[in-house]
Amino acid sequence: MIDLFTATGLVLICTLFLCLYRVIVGPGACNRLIAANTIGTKIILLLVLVGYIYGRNLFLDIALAYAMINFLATLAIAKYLEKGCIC
Amino acid sequence: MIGFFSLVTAILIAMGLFFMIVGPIGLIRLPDLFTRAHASGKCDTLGQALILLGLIVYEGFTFDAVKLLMLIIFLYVMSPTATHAIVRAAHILKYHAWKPGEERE
Amino acid sequence: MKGIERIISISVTFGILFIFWILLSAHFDAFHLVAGAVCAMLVAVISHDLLFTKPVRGGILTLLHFTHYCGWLFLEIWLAGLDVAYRVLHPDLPIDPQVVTFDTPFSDDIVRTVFANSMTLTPGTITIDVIGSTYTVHALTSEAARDLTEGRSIEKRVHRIFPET
Repeated sequence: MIDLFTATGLVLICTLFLCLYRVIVGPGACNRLIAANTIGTKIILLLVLVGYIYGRNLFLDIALAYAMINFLATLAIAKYLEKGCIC
Repeated sequence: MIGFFSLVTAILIAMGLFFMIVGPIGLIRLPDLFTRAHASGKCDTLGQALILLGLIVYEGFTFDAVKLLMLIIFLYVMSPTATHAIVRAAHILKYHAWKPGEERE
Repeated sequence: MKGIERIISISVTFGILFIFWILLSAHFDAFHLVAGAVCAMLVAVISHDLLFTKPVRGGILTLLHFTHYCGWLFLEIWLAGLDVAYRVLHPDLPIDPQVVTFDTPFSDDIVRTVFANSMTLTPGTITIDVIGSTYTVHALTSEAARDLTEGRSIEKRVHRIFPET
């Protein structure tokens, strides 16, 4: 089962590079932001998988906290793009 | 001989990976920001939910499974909201919406 | 909000926060339980008015409708994922994007949020902007746009769970 999780993680890292293409090339800040948000959600899955590969359920808590921080960061940047300040 | 639950886990993770691969492909192929938001918002949410469900089946009935379930619920509330925030910012910044027959960005 | 309503609001918030604490900590010794109770009480007293901005109504029937709605939403998310996957992997990209603006009769903030989020998760549509009860929606295909303005199937669903608005 650990092999399956490792393979899943490797495939996820490959899809991460596809998103990175949009972050580097994509015209305008909003395209980059949407790709960065996708990368963040993939990182959550990678954290959970790493926790299962090494047998440490501490990583689940890190994944939960990371999910919230990722969400807040996306909201803050979107707000900044919209208004020019975070307030 | 692999167990029944391991098989279910493998199938769920495989289906989730399919959607996780389709999401970035859509992010690259689709022509403008609004259509890209469709790909990133829907395929990724579904893929995540399927992979985490597979892990719940693997885990069984423990506190860790409850945490995974909570992660699924968070992602289901957060993903549409984040997509909506970005698309709204793009709408206010007057991003051009692609029409059929136009050049791709 | 005053008197008995305030106490109910604080205790419900405390209950939710304390259950959340227990699920996250997964320890049942005295130290963790007392620490959790103190933290949950502090947060509940300070911020109970964020969770319930007005008195809560509705009973077992609303809960039943909500469960039914969640099941329907799960099915729709499946269809949405398959739909987008088909359109992305098709060599010709069969999409016809449109921006649609339409009115809804919803007046409550929670109902509006539920409607906007479920529209983002159902096939072919994402919510762009909400001003009052007027929604601006981006539709991936012309069929999805026509369903929004004429068929209104999502709107009827949301109306069935929250009948009083």
